[in-house]
Amino acid sequence: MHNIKVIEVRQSVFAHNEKKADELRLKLKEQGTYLLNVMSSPGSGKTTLLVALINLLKEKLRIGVMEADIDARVDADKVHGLTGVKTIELHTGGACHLDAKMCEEGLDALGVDGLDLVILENVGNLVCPAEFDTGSASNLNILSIPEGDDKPLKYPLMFQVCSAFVFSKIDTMPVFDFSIERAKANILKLNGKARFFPVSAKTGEGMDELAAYIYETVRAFKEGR
Amino acid sequence: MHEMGICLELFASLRDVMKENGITALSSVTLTLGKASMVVPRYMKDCWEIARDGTEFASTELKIVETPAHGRCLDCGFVFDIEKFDRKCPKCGAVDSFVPLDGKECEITEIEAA
Repeated sequence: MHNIKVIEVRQSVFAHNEKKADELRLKLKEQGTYLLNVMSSPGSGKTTLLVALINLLKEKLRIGVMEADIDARVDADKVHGLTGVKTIELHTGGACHLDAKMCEEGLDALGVDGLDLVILENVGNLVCPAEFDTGSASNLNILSIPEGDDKPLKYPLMFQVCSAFVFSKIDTMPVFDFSIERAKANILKLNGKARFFPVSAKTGEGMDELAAYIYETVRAFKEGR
Repeated sequence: MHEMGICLELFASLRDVMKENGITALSSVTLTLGKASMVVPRYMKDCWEIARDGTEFASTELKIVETPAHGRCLDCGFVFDIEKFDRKCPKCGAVDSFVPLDGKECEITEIEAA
């Protein structure tokens, strides 16, 4: 048994993806393209919100969109049709998340040359997308009012890896027991630097504040601040 | 069932580790999974069994070591085992009111060359 060689390793199971993600982040930084990874449950209103957000930003920033889904291309058609910005659909082929390699392939297919902001709409899922770094500059989570303010307690990792949180569909507040204060407190326990944006893409409430935040974040990134 | 995605990622990371160490076959790999890692050891083992077929890991054994998750109570500061006390501080009784301290490990800790 003298051949047996035991090697102590101490590295994340996700090391392979994390290395790829860091390389992609560096490349995007050099190109001046801000990659925003948007994650949420299915049905939180991601696509509707993005359409409203892009329409507020498209005169000031050159934007591209990648719609990740297990199948179908309805989201990409909808976003392109309603905003006019360059959009592609990324099929994960059954996988419930997108990793950095798939994301890079998507960026190549989209063509990021000259784009200031690329929005990645990740697969609707609160578990796997939180585990796989896409190489994004930052992650944004959308939590819709009907989902409840206790979601952060149930899916802690998702609420740790994001820096901005959008509470969507606030026009439905009167019919649900969602407390914005409670949701904020639940998230702040996990993530002290979280920023919050209560919005309704339907009525437009809060959308200007969200657009201003994204605009300022992208500007700061491009100016190396 | 997010363990399958993690399993495939584990293969990719293991290939990197093997390359760095000049190893071509493994008889075992040890993972350390924290109780708060959100990875279920039993499912991880099932996925490993299914996914390894036809790969260089077909005869590699997956060993899993679990580590506890501790939290510091936000109300009284007491440090306790989150799972053992079912997220309730045993000192002051506060529920779901703690800062997680550890137990999120999802790491390759040891490999054994074949």
